[in-house]
Amino acid sequence: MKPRTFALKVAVICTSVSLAGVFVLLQSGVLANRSTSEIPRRLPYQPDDSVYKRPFVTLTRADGIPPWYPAWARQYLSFDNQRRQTLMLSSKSGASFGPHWVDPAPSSSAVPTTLLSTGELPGLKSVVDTRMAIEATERQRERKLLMYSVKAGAIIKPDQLEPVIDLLVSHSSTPPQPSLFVVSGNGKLHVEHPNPHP
Amino acid sequence: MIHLVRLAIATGLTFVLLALIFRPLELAFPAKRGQKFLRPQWWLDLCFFLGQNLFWTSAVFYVLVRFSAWLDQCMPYGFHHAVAMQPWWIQAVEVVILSDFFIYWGHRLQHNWNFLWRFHSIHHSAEHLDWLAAHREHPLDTIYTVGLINLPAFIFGFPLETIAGLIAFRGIWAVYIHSNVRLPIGPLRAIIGAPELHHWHHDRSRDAGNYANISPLMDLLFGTYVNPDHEPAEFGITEKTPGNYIGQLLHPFVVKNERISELPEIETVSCRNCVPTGNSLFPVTESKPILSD
Repeated sequence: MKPRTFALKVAVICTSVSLAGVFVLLQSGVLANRSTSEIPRRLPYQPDDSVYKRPFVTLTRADGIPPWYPAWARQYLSFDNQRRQTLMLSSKSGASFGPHWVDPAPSSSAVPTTLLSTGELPGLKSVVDTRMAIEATERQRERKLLMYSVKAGAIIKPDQLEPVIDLLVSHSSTPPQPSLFVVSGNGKLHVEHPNPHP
Repeated sequence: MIHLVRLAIATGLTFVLLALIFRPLELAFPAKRGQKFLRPQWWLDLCFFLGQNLFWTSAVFYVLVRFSAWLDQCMPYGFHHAVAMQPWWIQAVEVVILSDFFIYWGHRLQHNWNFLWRFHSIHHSAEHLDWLAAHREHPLDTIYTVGLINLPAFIFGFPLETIAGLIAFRGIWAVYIHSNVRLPIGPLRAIIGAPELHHWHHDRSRDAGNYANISPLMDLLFGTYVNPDHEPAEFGITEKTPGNYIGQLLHPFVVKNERISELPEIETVSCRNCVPTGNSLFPVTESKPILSD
């Protein structure tokens, strides 16, 4: 093979591989964006009762349940990292969240940084749907959001979920520096130590 | 309306980008020399490309998302937790190997079960392989294939956006192995796969082997690896299929549910009866496939 032909063939391979890399990057970006931005629109349920269109309610106490809170609804607790305020979101599973829903105070710079599912109710959809919906909303708003969607039974490390400590302290007499948080099936947070008998 | 315009632009850009990637490769390293860009049935494959990008991808994606969410509900939390506790690279390796395993057996099922073959035969009806022919696929066949490939990731509980890169890579790899390319990578093809392996899968025999998606590992393990050092004489199937897009989409619903008779001169090429000859495996007890020039 002539050197020129060889060089040409190498150039073709390099160019094609580079372009293929660009293609994969673009395609994966599009896919990732679609998986988060299109799902909310496709969720079948749209809240039809105006009372449920208030997903975030600022509470002075973490255990304060608003009177309109439906028993069948899924609960979410959100913690504002900066203000250490507990926000509560209540929605039907599968609900679609518009951008105006997510931030309870649009003028505020505070961003909810943690989202917790505190329980699963029978007949409702998985947490994944709602988590995706909220992530998409945040992405549309171009706001960086550190968020956890936690199922019952999930174990959360303390460094992943520091704000929860505040809630736990306010809720129970557990030690302030627990090692693991466990979300139980009934939606309550428990603390477990990896080494209970040191 | 804006969404449609964006979709059309994205489809156009995808076409241009894929052509820029694969056409030079097909010219520099042709598997079948002399195959023109506008070869027979090019327009039919273009219809499949446009249909896939403009219509069916959204439908496939919708089904995948719903399937993923449903599967997520079915899996026990303890399992997801155990998976998530592993290092990420172990999870990645597990997903890739399991994906290959699932798609390998799913693909064999497509060839052996007449109902699935009705849909999959559309893909195999292409008589000329290049990067565009890769898109000739019935939408229901696509849902089946993409679902199987991503099933392990869904079972493990990976969100779709997390595995988007893997999906995209597998997508372009699928285009690559259909392209009219034969790169001189030698024995590496037995490890990473190559277009010529998949070209043999598109041999006119319905049981031609090479069912794996990326690495031929599964074919080697289960005895369906085929690697002659030449291209198959002909691609396609023995069954008659419509020559137009709509006809091909409807074909699985009207075709008789009978296994298609094989051409008498072509027999199954199975690795069980193969011996290694250099980097190739030739059948020694069965008749050889038709040799190309």
